[in-house]
Amino acid sequence: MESTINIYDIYKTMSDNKIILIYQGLFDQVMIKSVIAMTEKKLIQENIEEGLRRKLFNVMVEGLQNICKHQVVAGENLQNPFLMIGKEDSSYNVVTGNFIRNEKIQVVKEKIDFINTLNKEELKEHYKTARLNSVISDVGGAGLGFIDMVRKSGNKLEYKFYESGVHFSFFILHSKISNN
Amino acid sequence: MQTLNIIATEDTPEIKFNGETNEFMISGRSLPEDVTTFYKPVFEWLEVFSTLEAPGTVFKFKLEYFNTASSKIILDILMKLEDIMESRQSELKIEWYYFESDDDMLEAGEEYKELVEIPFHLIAC
Repeated sequence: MESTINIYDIYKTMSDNKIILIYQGLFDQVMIKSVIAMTEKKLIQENIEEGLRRKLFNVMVEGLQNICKHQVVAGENLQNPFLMIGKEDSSYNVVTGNFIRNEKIQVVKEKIDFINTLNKEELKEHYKTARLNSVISDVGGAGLGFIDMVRKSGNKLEYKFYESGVHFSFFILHSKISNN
Repeated sequence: MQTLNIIATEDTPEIKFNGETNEFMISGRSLPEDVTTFYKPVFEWLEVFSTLEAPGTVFKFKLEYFNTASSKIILDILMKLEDIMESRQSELKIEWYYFESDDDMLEAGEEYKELVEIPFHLIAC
């Protein structure tokens, strides 16, 4: 049975946030470029300090490109991915959601859970090792996105999988970027 | 040495080899959808470069941003340069530019510098 993930529910969990941007729709490189351009302008308008802007940008690009590479697109019943950026006190929340195949869930969970156990130094070493050993995949990824998101944001990644039938789940990823 | 001149776009860097000054520069932003295809000309150029008795060449990186896939490709480029330098025993050097306020770009440069045995200069701009 198809369940529709209610983006509004997720939006409500960000009710303490000032929403900077919400996009739900097709995710491809062309769209990414537009969203990036729009977000950059907004971040400057919001007078966000340069270092924080840069970290936000980094996390957003990795998150968006992850979606492009790993999303499930086939099937008209699957709703489109989304991106949400909100401000909460002096931090920023970047939330993405997209359908993925259930076979991928375990790998993603293990990756993120592991990365979340590492301290700053360990993250640096893990990134260096992973990068040395990585090979560009057939979708053009290097498998380093999550590590980079944690390094740049300064916080653990939070995630949730919402089962949606036998084959797919909706994957929500939340990165909080703090001003360190 | 053949020229290489790739114009920058919103998601890909400018890549330019200047035969007169012997400078090879990658500048701008790197977040292409397909890093392998985009950087292929660079690796092809490096293959030719590796066979030539070229005088000292400076490889300049002046990047404002690069995604993680580009980070891997940059490492591959640096390692190729290291091979070239070792086998030819000729002078190569790397100049890694970063905006003064960009700690991340400086840190990235420092990390690359630790990984390769090539004269590697970190330059604030």
